[in-house]
Amino acid sequence: MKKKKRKKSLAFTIIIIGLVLLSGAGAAGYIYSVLLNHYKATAENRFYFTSDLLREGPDVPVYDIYYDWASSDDTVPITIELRNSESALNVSSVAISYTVKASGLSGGHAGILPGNTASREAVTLNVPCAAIGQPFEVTVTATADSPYRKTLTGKFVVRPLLSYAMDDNQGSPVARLTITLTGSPEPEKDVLISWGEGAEPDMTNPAVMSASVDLEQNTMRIRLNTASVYELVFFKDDPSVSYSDVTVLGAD
Amino acid sequence: MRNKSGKIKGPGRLVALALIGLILAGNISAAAASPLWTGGTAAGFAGGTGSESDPYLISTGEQLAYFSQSVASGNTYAGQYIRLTQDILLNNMNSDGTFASGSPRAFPRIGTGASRSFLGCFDGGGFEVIGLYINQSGTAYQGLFGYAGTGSVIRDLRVCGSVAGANYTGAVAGFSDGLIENCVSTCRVTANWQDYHGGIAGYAGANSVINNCRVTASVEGDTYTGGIAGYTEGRVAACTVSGAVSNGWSDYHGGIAGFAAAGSRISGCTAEGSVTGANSVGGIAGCAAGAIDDCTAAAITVSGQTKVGGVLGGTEGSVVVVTNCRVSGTVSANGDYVGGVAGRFAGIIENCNITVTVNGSCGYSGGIAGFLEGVESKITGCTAAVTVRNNSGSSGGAAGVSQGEISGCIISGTVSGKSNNIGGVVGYSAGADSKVILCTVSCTIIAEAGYGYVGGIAGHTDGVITQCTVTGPVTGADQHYVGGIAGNATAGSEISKCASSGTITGNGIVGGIAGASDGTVTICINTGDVSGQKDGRAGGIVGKAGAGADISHSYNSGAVTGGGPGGIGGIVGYIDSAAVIHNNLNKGTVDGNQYVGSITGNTVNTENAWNNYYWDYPGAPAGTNTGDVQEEDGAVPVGDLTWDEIWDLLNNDRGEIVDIWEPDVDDDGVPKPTIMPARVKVTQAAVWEGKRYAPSESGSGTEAVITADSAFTVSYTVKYAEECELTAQVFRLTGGEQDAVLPAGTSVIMLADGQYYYINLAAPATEIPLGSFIRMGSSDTYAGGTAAADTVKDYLFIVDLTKTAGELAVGTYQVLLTDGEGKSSGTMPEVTVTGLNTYALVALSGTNTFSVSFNKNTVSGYDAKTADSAFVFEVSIKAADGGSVLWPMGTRINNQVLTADLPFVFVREEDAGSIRIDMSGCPNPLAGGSYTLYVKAYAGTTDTSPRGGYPLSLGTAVLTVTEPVEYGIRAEAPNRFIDAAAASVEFRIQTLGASNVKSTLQRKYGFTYQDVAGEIDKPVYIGSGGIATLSLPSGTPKGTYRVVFSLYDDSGNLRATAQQNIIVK
Repeated sequence: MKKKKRKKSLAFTIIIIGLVLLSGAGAAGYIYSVLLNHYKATAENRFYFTSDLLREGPDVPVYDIYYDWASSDDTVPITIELRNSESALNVSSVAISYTVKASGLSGGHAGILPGNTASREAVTLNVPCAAIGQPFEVTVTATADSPYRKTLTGKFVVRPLLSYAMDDNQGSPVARLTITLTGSPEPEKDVLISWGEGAEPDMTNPAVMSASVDLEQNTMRIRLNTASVYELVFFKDDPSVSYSDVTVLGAD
Repeated sequence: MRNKSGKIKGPGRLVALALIGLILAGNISAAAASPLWTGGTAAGFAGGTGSESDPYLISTGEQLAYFSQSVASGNTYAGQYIRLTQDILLNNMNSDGTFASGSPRAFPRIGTGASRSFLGCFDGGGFEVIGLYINQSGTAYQGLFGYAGTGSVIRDLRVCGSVAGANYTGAVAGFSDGLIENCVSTCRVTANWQDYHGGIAGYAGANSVINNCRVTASVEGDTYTGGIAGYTEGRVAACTVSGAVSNGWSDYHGGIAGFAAAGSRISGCTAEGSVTGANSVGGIAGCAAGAIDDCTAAAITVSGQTKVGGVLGGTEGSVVVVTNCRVSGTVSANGDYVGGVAGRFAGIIENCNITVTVNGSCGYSGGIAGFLEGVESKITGCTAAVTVRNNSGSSGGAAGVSQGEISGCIISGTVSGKSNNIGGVVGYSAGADSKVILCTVSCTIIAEAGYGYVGGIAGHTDGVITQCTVTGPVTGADQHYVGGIAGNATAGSEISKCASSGTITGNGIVGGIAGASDGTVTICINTGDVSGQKDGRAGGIVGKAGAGADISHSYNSGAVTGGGPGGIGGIVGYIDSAAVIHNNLNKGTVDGNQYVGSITGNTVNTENAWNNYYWDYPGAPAGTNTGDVQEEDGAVPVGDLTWDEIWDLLNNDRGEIVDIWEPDVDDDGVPKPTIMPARVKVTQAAVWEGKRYAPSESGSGTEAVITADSAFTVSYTVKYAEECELTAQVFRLTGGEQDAVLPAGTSVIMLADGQYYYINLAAPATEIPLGSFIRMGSSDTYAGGTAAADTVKDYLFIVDLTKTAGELAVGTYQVLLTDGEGKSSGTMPEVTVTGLNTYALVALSGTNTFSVSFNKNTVSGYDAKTADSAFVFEVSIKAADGGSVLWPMGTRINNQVLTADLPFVFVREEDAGSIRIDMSGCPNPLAGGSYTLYVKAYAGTTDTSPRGGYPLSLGTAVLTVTEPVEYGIRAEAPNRFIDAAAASVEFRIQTLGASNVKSTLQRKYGFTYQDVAGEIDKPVYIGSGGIATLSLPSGTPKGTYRVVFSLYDDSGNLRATAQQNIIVK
């Protein structure tokens, strides 16, 4: 009796292995599931798990997000869409349960895409920002957990909409402030420039000439083009010292 | 007949009186007049308590008489207020200002003397005392108020009628030591032999103020007669006189005041009539010892015997200052001292503007002052357009005779006389301390007859004449000494840094600068022709140089001709052997009968002559009448020397190197003495293309060639030759004869004293005074201050034209920093403007593609907009409804994937020939259709963020986007277990978006698939019902296979795949 059982078990294993060798259906990610359930599932249960921005490896798509965050406590929203189809011809015939996670974010989002009809669901993850003005990367992963396993990935580089830098100006009569505005859905951006004692801005700069300047408070509000790099010269009181007492913030 | 106030006589009078009664009963009096004064006296005022809020009211002549009676009885009304309620009709008047009655009622003056004076406040309320009649030629202190003491106030009053009195007579007050303001007099004032008569006040004491009063009637008095006050010790301000002030036999007559005593001030007054008197007659004051400022004598006629002037006849006592006055008209005197401003003047006349005819008969006649008396006296900053005529004596455009200083004056017109001293500025500049400085003369100076001295600046000078310019002709008569600057300059005199360009003509001794000089003539230029007709002496610089003469560093280019034997020379006609002549250059022709030389007409003492050069044109006479003087180049031709070499020689004064001669670039480099040294002397300059914020950061800069909308930087090191007002300095560009117009939008940054300043031009400008620069970070303008002589300062200017439309004209410009008079010296930096780079952008439409044609029409030169930049095109789209549309993420622009939804995409110039738009990979592609495409070219430093750069050109096109296509393929084999002997396998295939399907057969080895040779990308024919039959190669071994179906679009792009496993048994 025991021998019979062992023979049955062995035969079953061989069949399994044979089936595995025979099977070429679908992506490797869910071959195991096919085998575990039933080989014929590949023919009967069509499975498509796709996204607008995420892709199945190995090439991970990269996207830019331009964001103007005021503190490191801010979060940046990243929205992706999950679909259960590749096209109108290629629609999953079964419901797909999935989870979405993002690097740097504890927890995630879980959901189910129903089967048989094309469906899609937008998922938004609010990812913590890095220090102000420091670009950071977020990898978003959407995993179909059942009936088959498939992982989609995308990388999002969150870049500050506004960044600035003061040159090394020790020994120079002027300090050069470079303001960079990345591309943005908005063509223009209001920025607020504040400067401390020790230097004065170039009042012949066309951006400054169009700005609202408060010389008492040492501030100016300027509307600048996005997708741009501006240089603003500050005339220093003392060329021998390095001047950097300037802040540039996005203004509402 | 109507009386002055329009009263009706006859039957209507009762009605009118009744109406007046009604008005009075109703306390309505604003536009009414009192009944004709009966000559009686009321028992009191019409009302009031005398306080400021409840003044005593006067409504009738009787009440006014009561008031007079009350003052005469000893009531001073000090601290009390009296007010008219209506016009007071004392006597009926005719419209011509005469009385209707042959025997008008005489009114008793208010206040009879110091002991019976009015000290209160009288308010006329704007009403008029009509028909005031006073005829007391034997009694002093006559007027409506006989005596208004210290602290009294009389205001807002009008008076008409006639007042005749003895001493101290005026229409409003015979004597006033208080305030009279806002009063108008049409009251004739007359006197016979007594003094102090005025249209408002006969005598105004030291505490008096007469303000904003007007006199239209004539004033006739004896000594001290004035349109406002006969004599004033106080203040007269903003008063106007249009009546005549006349008396042909007595002294001190003035349009405003007969005499303005020490401590007095007349300001802002206007006299428009005529003033006639004997001595000390003036358009404003007959004589003054106080100040006169901002007064106008308009179209005035002033005439007298002596001391006659457009503003004042003469001065007495303390130093008088006349400031900012204007005179037009005619001033005439039968005797001495007649001037457009003053006849005889000791003090300061400054900033006056005169347009007068001055007629003198003898003595001293001047366009401004007949006689400027004393070495401390000055005439400065005046402009005079004059016609000065004199029968004899001294005549000058500014002064007949001056013992003081005349500076900064501009004289035009004609100065003429018949003998003695005739000068464009001064007839005779008398005394070694006399000076004429920085004057400009463009008038005609002519001696009509006789003998004497005629000069463009001075007929005769004992003192200093420096930095003066004469452009008009100077003409002498028979025996005159004639000079472009001075007819005769005596021993010890000095003429320096002067220029004459007019024709100098005479029969006596004639010189381009001085007819005769026994003093110093140095650093002068004559460019006018010098003609010594008949038998005189003629020299390009000096006609006759006496024993004390020193003629040096001077230049002549005028033609010198002479007909006599006295000596005809390019520099000096006749030179005394003791005179010195050196470092001169003659470039004019010289022509004469005998004693002719290109330097001197006679022989020079070789000990006293060196470095004198002449232009040896064909036929030029030798250096002297006896030949050239080779020793120390005493009188030699230029010969083969270059002008540069001559320049060096002329700046070498017997071994001492001087800095007097400069090459004239507009005259082939011929050296000329710098006669008007600029305050601003640039000792070092540099120029750079682009913006440089500090010379120390920039190194040496020697050239700038730029486009018209570019930027450049210049720096200067300046050494001030003289004291200089720094804010008055001017920054400008000049193209030679014409200054460049800096377009609107030009910005200039200035670095001075370690501070940065700026200016943004809102309108075109040819020059920028440094005082208009604003300090960076503030609203304060450049304060500058005054730089002392020899001060050295550095400046940096950054000129930014990038915000202009490029209107600065093509050319090469000197970039000048000058003093307030537009002068500077030294080598200035130059900038060359070559034109404007222009761009033409054409965007070409297409379907899922577009292209850009970008043509650059460029000129040479630095272009700040494009330097170190690349051309990048910003591409944006709008929907058919005009709404902005974002480029969707995933769009491929020439295979570059857009990683976010953005309004702009950027294409580099080199990629712009054909730009393919592919949205097939977009998660959310644009809907199919037509979009307006906007392409803007930028010069920027980055490909991806060029929008901070300069936009150059714009083009539009239509971009047609095809409808997004969904691609898909599905393939299933009904029977996936194929017998190895079978030749084919059947698939059921569905496609979306395209139908071009290819298959690849792969065999499985372990966990991988490998393409089967010869079975790759084989076209698949799909038959009816979507059935496609694929042939298997013969001898296909048993095993697991996979068929990969690929769907291609019409362009051959792979769009979708499907795969199906089969098992060959």
